[in-house]
Amino acid sequence: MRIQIVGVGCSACHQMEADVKAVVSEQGLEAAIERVDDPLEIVQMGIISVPRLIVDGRLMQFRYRGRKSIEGILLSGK
Amino acid sequence: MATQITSTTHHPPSWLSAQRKWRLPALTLLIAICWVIIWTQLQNLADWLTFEVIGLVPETHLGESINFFLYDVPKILMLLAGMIFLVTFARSFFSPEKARAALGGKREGVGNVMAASLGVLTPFCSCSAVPLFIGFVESGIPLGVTFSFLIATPVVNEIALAMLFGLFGWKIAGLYLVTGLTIAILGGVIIGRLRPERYVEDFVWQIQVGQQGSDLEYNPSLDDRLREAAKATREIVGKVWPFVVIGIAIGAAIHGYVPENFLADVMGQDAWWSVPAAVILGIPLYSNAAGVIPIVYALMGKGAALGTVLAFMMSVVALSLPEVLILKRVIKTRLLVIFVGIVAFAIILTGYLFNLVIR
Repeated sequence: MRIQIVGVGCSACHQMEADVKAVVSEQGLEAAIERVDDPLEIVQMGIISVPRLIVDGRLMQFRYRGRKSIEGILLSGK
Repeated sequence: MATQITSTTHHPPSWLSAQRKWRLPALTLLIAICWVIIWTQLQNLADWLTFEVIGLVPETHLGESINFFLYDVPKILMLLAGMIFLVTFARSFFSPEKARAALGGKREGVGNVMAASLGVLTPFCSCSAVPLFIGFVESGIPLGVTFSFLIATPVVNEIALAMLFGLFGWKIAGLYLVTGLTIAILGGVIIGRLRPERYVEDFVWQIQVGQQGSDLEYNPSLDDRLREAAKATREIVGKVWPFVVIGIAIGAAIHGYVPENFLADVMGQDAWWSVPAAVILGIPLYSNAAGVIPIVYALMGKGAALGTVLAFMMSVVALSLPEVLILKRVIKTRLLVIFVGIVAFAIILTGYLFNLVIR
C-alpha cells in the first residue's frame, strides 16, 4: 500500500502523519508512507484544502479527525 | 489494539438498527436540555457556592470577586462549548471545494457578497491558504472575489461571534457580523479594481490543476457530523480553558478592587488614538479568539470602549503574521501590503464606528 500524506505543515497535518504512522505500525500494515508538502504539487493534484490522504493513488473521501478516522480508511480496504 | 475488524454477516433486527440510528441525536438533545437548565441556574449556583458553602459575606470586595469568578468561569466555558459545537456542526455542511464550485462563473459584485458569506461559513485551516488561492484562481474566480473569501474567513471569527452574542447580546454580535462581511466585500471589490493580476506570481497562472480533489460527493452521516462537532468542542475547550480561567481570574481580582472607569482615560471613547494603537498592537500578537475574549471582557468592565477593544480583538485574530507570510509564496509583497493595509484600515474604522454608535 502506498500512503501519501498531503499537508503543508500545519499542526493538523503533523498530527495526521503521526497517526498514520502509528496505525500502520500497530496494525502491521505494509505501507510506504510519503509526504506531499509542496503547495504547488498539492494544487496540481487538484487539492485545495489540507490535510488529505491518498492511498494507492486514490484521494480518500474523508476528513481527518483523529486516529479513529485513519483506522477507518486504512483498515477498510484490507 | 484500538479496533477489531469484524465481518458483518449477521444483521441486527430492523427495530434495533432504528434505535441505534437515533441514539446519538437523542443523546445530543438530552445534553442540550441539561445545558439550558444549568445555564439558567448559574447565578444561583454561584451565589450558593460563594455565600453559603464558602460562607463569604455579600457586598464585600472578596465576596463579590469570588462570586464573579464562580459565575463567569462556568458561564463562559459553557457558552464556548455550546457555540463551538453548533458552529462545527453547521460547518460540516460546507467545504472549500463546495465554495469553489459555488463561486465558479460568478462575476464581481454578486461574487464578492457570496464569497464573503461562504468565507464565514467554510471550515478552513490557514495552512490551506496557498492551495486554496491557486485553486480559486485556476477555476476562473476573479481575484477580488477570492480576496473577499480570504478576508472574511479570519475577520468574522465564529468563536468571537458566539462569545459576543453570549456576553453582549445579539445587537453587538450582529453589528460585528455585518461590519466583518462589509469589510470582506468592499476589501475584495477594492482589490479587484487595482488590477491585482500584476501582483500575482507568474507561475500561478501556469499551473495545471488536476481533477482529483473534487470530492464534492463527500457526505458524512448525521452521526459523523455530531461526532466531529463533539471532538472539535473537546479539543478547543481543552486547549483554551486555562486562558479563560486566567482571564476571568484577573477580571475577578480587579472586579472588586479596581475602579470601574480605571481604563477610561487610555481606552475610553474619548481617547481617539487608542483605536489605531490597539490595531497595531494586535498585528504581531496572534491568538485564538477564545483566548482573547476573556481579556476583552475584563477590559470592558473597567471602562475600555467596546470599539477599541473589538478592534484589538479583530486585529489579534484576523491579522496574523504567519498567515500573511504564507500567502507570500503566491502573491507579490505589494499586494500583500495592500491586503493587510485594507484589513487594518477597515478594522480601525469598525472600532470608531462601535465607539460612535454604542455610548
